[in-house]
Amino acid sequence: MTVIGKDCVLGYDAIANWASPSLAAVPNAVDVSQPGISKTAIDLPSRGTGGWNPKGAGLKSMDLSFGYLCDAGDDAVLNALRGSYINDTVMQFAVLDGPIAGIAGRVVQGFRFPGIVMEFPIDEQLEDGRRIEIKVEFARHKLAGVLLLPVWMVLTAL
Amino acid sequence: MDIVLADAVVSLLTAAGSQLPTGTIIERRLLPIYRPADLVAPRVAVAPRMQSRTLASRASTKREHVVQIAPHKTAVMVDGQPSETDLAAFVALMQAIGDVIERASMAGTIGGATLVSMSTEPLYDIEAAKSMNVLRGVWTVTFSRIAKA
Repeated sequence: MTVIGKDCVLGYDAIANWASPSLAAVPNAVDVSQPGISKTAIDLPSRGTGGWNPKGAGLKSMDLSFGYLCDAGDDAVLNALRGSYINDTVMQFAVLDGPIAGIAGRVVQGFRFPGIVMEFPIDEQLEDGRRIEIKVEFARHKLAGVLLLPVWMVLTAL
Repeated sequence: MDIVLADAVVSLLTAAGSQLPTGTIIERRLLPIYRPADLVAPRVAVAPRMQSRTLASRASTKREHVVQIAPHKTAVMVDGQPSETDLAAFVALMQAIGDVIERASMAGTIGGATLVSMSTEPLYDIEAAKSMNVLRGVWTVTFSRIAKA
């Protein structure tokens, strides 16, 4: 079965809860993407590679971009995202292909990583909802002396 | 929501009665079919016509609501045609209705929705004028809002 983007869930939580996250959804997310999941390639040619240029794995990257449709009034999710931008607060994000609580019949999975909001540009089109195009970058963060790295999160089927 | 929006338009036009011809009747009318005898004074029917929804986020939709505002008025006929005087007055009525809606939209939402566009083509229905002595025009007004069911 194909998963439709609308049915995916973007979750977030405080970084302090990394070990046992209690994720909250970002329901106002519009288009969510992680275009920067990539690794650099290192050239490893030698006299013995017969003229070929074999590659070696370099450094991996992780990011997250999504549009946020603003509601009028107070919005706890937006407050947290704005706080990350203004105060450089590291949060944790989970980009899941289903509900945070899990779903019957299949696993729910996706990357979870420590992130910091790097871009927070506001867009007010004349005939469209007020929207913020948020960009999150993988953040260096240590919790109890341990450096946190991206993980593939899997929620078992209900 | 469509009925609420149509009623908000009726309230708006009613409140702006001083900018419309004396005796103008404004009403929500889902089937605006009138007898010519009912149209000595201008009668403005407001009817919800269409709604569409497209995804705006993972938890909301962008909705477009189309409301039509249709003034009707019998015309004095001269040589089988509506008089120029009546036609000009009717066009002025269409203009006044457009101005009232536009001004209100600049001040805020109408019935909880935002005005996106409004158009009228033609400004009056010449066939209705010829066959029934009735001047009739239609403003098609499109509103937009983002909501969650």
